Amino acid sequence: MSQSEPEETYLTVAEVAETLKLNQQTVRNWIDQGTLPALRVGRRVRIKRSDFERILEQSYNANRVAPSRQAGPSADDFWGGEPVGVAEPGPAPGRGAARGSGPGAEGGG
Amino acid sequence: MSFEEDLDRQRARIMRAVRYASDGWAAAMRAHKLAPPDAGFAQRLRDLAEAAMNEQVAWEHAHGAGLLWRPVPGAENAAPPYELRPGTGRRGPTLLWERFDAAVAALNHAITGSSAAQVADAFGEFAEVTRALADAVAAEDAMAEARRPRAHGAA
Repeated sequence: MSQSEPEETYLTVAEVAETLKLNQQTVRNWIDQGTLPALRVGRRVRIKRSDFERILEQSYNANRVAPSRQAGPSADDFWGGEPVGVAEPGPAPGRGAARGSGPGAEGGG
Repeated sequence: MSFEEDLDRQRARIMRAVRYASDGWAAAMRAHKLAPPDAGFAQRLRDLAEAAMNEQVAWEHAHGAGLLWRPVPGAENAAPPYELRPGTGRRGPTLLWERFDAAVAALNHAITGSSAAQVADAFGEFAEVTRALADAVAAEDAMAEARRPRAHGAA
């Protein structure tokens, strides 16, 4: 483990729900679905503040970048579980070059 | 069969391999993205290493066939899934995680360009360090399991 990690603080389900003005069950559903990571200590559940802030950030970013995603995959897609890479023919000299204008293969993370 | 037909068949085969490798990589990323804290971390790292290795092989073949990686704009500072980022309490040797972070940066740099060879190399280094991390975390898990008191079976 890294030895210079910043100290982490934790939130309760009630605190997360209150912050977002949501029902606590909604937050519990996120946790059960794995959308919001949580630590279970017996029957108690705690959410890392950093996890909570990340979910908020991702949610805002998802809305903000939506239009640009239509233009093509992004680096966030690459690390986010969406196919991104496309193999396409290079500017090969000679006979193969002219045919290289067809669609590439989607791939590569 | 003409040279051009043979070239087309070869490229089609490689593009299928690239797509197959991509599916594996995307699945491995989703596993990290959606994972509950810590459970199965070593196995996810191992799966990710294998996915990266498959990407390396696919893109080496793509490079050999004269294919290019289509650049992904704005990837320079892209971040991997949360549990793989610095400052999130990642288990495993710090030095390996520093090498992992460098491999992420190299991969980000590679995918902003078009060189299939550079992408293959970046996937290769990523695969190597991720496999080493998987081994280290699995060893930690095994030691923790060995130290755990046995509650049942003693009688």
